[in-house]
Amino acid sequence: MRIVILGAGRVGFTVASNLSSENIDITLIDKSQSVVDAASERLDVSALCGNVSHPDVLEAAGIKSADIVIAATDSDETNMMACQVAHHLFKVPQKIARVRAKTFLDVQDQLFNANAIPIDIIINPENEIVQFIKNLILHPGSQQVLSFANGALSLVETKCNRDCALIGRSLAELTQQLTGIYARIALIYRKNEIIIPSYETIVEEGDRVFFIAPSGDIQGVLSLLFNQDKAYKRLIIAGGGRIGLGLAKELENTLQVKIITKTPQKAYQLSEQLDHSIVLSGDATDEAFLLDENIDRTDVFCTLTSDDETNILCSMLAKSLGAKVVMSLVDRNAYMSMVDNGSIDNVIYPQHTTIGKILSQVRQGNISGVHSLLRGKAEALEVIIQSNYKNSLVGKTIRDIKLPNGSLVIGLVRNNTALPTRQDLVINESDHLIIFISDRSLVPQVESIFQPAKSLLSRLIK
Amino acid sequence: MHYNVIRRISGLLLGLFSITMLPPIIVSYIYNEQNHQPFIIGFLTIFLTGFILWLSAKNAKEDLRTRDGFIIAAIFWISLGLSGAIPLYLSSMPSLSLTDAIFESISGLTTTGATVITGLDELPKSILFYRQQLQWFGGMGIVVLAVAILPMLGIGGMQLYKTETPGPVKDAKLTPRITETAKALWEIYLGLTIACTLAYWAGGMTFFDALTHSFSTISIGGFSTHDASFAFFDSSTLNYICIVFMVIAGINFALHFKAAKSLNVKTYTQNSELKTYLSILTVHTLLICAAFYYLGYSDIIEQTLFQVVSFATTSGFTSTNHASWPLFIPVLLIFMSFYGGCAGSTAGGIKVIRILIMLKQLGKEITHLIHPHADMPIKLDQHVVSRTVINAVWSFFSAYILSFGILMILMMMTGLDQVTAFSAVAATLNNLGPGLGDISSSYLTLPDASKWIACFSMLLGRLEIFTLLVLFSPVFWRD
Repeated sequence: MRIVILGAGRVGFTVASNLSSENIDITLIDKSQSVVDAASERLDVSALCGNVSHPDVLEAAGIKSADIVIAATDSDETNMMACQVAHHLFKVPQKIARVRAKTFLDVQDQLFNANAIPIDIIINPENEIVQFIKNLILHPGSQQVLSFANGALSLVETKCNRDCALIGRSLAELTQQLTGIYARIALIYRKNEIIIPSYETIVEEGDRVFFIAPSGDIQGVLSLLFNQDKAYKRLIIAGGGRIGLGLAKELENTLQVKIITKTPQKAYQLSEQLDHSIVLSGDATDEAFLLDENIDRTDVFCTLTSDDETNILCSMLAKSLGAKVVMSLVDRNAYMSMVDNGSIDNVIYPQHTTIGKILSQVRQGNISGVHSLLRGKAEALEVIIQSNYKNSLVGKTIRDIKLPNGSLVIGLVRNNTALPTRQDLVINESDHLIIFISDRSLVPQVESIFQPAKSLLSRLIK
Repeated sequence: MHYNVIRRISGLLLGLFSITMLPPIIVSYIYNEQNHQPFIIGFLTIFLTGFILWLSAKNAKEDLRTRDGFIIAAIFWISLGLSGAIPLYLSSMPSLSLTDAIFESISGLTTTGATVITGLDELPKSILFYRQQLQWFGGMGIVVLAVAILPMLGIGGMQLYKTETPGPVKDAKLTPRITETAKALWEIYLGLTIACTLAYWAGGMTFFDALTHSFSTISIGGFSTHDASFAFFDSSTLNYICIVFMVIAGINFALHFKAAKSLNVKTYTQNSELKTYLSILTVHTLLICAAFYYLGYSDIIEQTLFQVVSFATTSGFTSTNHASWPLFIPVLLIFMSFYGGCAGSTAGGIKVIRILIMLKQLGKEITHLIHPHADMPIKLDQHVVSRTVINAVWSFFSAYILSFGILMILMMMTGLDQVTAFSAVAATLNNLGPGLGDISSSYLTLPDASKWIACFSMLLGRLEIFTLLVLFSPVFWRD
């Protein structure tokens, strides 16, 4: 497979480095020579310098034989133009573009089709991060909430701190406690190892527990298991960039939101766009300022600036001043192991939230959704069952699916309702299967199980 | 320094190289020579050394750093030169001293083609085959081969690839993935070798000669299975076939790749390095022919063309006794080996593209004297050459000249006369092969010390100076 990625900024670079480890030919284009040099030095991709929407540059990048083009520059207009050129001049089958302006997204259906601007899939990394953080804040106690099958089923990651009610109890006990709710603990991540639990498994301190439940019941499960029934009320956001503003907009009607930004000018701009939030101008690392704003009575303190170091330090300060839960956006992989076990309750890595949507396009077979888990180590795939597989699975039981070791079916959704995944459950057509894969190297094996049967003709052409 | 990774990869590479001991065994069987023992011992020694190295660090998972790439390339070429000598040393025919065996092996691998063996025609075919095969593997580079077929080198492959490919712009990839690039290069290399074999065979050589000579033609090595080299065949057809394939092998392989992919002749006609390369060949041939006519020689065009192409591409085949020509001509031929081959080909020397960039810079400086305020970037094929590349070219040039000077003085210290010392360093540093004076046909008579200097000089030339020179820098070893 060949992919051309336009723009080697944060998004483009992350996507390229994730995909280049997957046997995909990648060409990166960027307008800055130094960025191009850095990319070709560090990644096994070819990189070239030029204006990403110019036909001659695209042609030099070999776009004629590309299967997918991903336009990920900062500018919406450039991305759209590039997709248009790729579509009309070079007939690229799949076009993915990053579009951020809300006004474009509002008229998405009229605008982005083959007759107007030919973009097949829109990605909006900032918005995805906002939705991700919003989910965390609306579900107290969760570390990550991923939804499957159009939101029917969710996979939730939780962390067992010292005072967690789960510690020392076996799964059998916990299952009894959950009367009436269908939920199951899918896996436990303990000391850098993935454990697929049985009924006898006992939860320990420091475990990351992943459970799967119908989306409507998540809060029920969290409050039953973790005694986390109090919804958050007071939220402070540090950083008034796109993500901070987006989050404030999403939540200002349900929570008390304060947003901190550095300069008064920026604060004025923000206050024009927000209705119920309090916009503050000041330094979020200033102790006195935070105390004035009642940091000790804040439920959630989110640091969402573009600077990792500020985010981390600011969160730690807020925690020490008494904020109940602190969350922080961290971009650099190198900080992962340093902050994971620190005092920050939720560390959000934007890279892993963005990549899922693109991975699901790259994956072979009928894979409709991909979420990367545990900082990209593991993956959760969603597959829609069709009757034209190589070895059609319709009419077989879950036990009959020959999944490689280290992967298992953790959920099944039929007609938008989640069913318990017993081993003898018979699979129907158009069921959504959710499969957990503990090691990314197993992905091709799982893919091949769900590949559509190839007709003799298509085999000959290949 | 990541010694674990270095050990693991060196082990793998040695294991890969040990396989090259097997084809000569087959040759020995076919010709019923009973000469397989040296190769079996060679195979076992190299394979086991490689296996032990690999075993001692088989779980090393770190990525290769730029620095490790240099070490691996240097260790690998040196150990290959030494271990490649095993069969030559052990074999009773020819009976070589250890120094001579190592000299012959390094000369083969670096595609120099300088030899210490006389009486080639009487040697067992398996040894002859082995010598030619060494050149063939050395030509495109065994590290590049390893990158192509060992997928686990991954991103580290780029670090290795850079150390071995000749030319000023090292990270120009032909395809997005480095393994694919390396594979493409080897495919072209293999394709050209097959075409060349068939052409020689059709031109009248025996199949054995055709195959072995195509090995040393496409790799621009210059070893032959006969003492008289191409003069042995005494055939115009074969001479012209050889000229054509030397010219092709002296062209940048990336250009062959692009042309094969787009099926467009324009790829060739629009490339300024290729144009310069061809005009260098033409101008020198005409010049030497004119000189010959002036001196009263006649019917000399074929021999002149052959020698010009052979020396410019640094092959070093001879079709006539060039050393007996008026002295300025052999010296001019040796000078050509400095600037005759294209970057990214199997040729040695400074490479046409560097000379072209330097000449353009020279022209620019002169124009600058007349128009002091003009801003004139150097352009190649409508693209501006970046300042870093120009700087790298100049420092390469000065390092080359400096190495040349030092090596020549060292050679003279071992007792060689000036002409021999000059031609020995030029012929080894440019991976050319034949020299002048005492070494116009064989290096056998040189003292051992000069042979070791020549070995170093050949490696220096093949790895384009810096890959080897960087190991002598204290900064490299400081962590």
